[in-house]
Amino acid sequence: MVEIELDNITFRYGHRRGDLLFTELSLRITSGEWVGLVGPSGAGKTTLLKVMKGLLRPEAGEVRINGAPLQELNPFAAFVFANPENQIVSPVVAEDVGFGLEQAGLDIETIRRRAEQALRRVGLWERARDLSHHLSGGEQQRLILAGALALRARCLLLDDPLSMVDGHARDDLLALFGEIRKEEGCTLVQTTHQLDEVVNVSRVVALERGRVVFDGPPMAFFREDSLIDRLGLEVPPLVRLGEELARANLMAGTEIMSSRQLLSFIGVDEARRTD
Amino acid sequence: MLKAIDISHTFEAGSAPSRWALRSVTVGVEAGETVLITGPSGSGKTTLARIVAGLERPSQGTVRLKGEDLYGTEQRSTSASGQVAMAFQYPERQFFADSVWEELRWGLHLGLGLDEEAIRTRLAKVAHELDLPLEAVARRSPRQLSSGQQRKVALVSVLALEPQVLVLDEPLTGLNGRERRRLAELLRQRLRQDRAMVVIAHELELFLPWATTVAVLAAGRLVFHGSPQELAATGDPAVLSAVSLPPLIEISSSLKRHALSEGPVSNEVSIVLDQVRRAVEKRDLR
Repeated sequence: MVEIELDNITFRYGHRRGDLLFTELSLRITSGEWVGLVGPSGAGKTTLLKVMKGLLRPEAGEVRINGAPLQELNPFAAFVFANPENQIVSPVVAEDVGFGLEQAGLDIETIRRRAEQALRRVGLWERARDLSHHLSGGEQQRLILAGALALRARCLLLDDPLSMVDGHARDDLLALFGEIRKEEGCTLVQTTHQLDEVVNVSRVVALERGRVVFDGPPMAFFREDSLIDRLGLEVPPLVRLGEELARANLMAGTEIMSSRQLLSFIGVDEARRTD
Repeated sequence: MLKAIDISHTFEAGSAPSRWALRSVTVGVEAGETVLITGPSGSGKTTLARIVAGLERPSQGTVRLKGEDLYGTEQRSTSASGQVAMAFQYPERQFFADSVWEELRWGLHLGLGLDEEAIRTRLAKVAHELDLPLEAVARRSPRQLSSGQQRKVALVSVLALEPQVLVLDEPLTGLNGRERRRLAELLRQRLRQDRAMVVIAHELELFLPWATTVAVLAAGRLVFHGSPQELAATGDPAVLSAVSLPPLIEISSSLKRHALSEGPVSNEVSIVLDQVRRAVEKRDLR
């Protein structure tokens, strides 16, 4: 169980008044939530995530983890940086995944087992012996995600973790996030620039100039047309289509389907994946 | 204008050809055209981009720019002469200066030899188009900016060079929904008759509507090369496992292939809604 509380935090990068990023911001994330943190560039998404990890300290207010004030680094949370290059430490893929476990003093067998499992989960096991810097951007993002998964942290702080991951791998990883939340009770806080990544989260928190301007389930957020527009975001077309189909009584509720689910609902089954 | 012919590449000399990053890939782009290169992570997109940008000599094959071999002579700097410019996937990799202004000024000053006045005018214009608050960030270190602003600085620096061939590696990463749409639209508008663009991207919905050709890579091989319309209509499992078509296009295309819709393959909610509605009616009639 991990509960993160931000209590009236104030934060700025510089020293001037105009540099204030957050003023008395409060946010409570309870155990097992999957929070999608959205907002325009520069709204403070990454900063908020770093405050939750203890990488940055607020100048006022308190960060509490499970009720206890955060003094140093949040021991329950694994952080995944937006730029994987900043986080890769070992020249070989499998070693990079094992690095954190080695630091934690685990035995070699456990490290091997966990590294393999984590690499399989992100679809990178065939690349285990390859050089990390030979991986593409999307693969490097999957690599540092594997490193975080291998730690079996109870909380994952993910800064735009899928920005370079494309196509089907992205769908697979979003499904994986849902899985580790359900099966392992992991708490996830994920920033993103694309709303199709928050369709399945349990809660959307929208930031604008350092203030929380929306906090609620994704379906409710998708109805906030003017806010979404103001934040420079876009409702995913499939969500729009789902709403229209529900309105036309062609589908029950506004349940979002994947394109393939929708096709099989119509009676078309697409064989797509060959891998 | 630019043609990469039969390109094969490996980073490990002597490795088995099946492990090469690129295998016998041929792609080209003419003036006034955009080629979209897409495919799964690790399929060789960035490597191909670096090769066509003149940054990585391919193990095999040739790259011709206006008929001239790009790697023909040893000491050749294509970017400095303003012919090819590339924006990298990681903006940080591109940054070298301590301030945004120096970062942006460098190529225009040293590469193109513009005077301060011309540099100022050109940068102000491009920064405005990309919605980068140049005044506010000019003296800051590019590394201190948010990821979205770093992306914009990197893009302004190459767009301002107005190269004949612009190579963009995942130019939309780190940007928001509307910024993405806006940037894609801006790129489309900036594409002039005498220029060409090579775009690596996985946001197909933003580039398919206007790209001239699409090249799909999978494990270093070219598995598709054709028009966006041909890609949208394809039923080839090898291609469909390598790219994830925008969901509405996938639905629209699938209905058409299964003879449940006669209309064009579309990415518009209203059109696809209508196609789904008709498809359901047809299904109920069967």
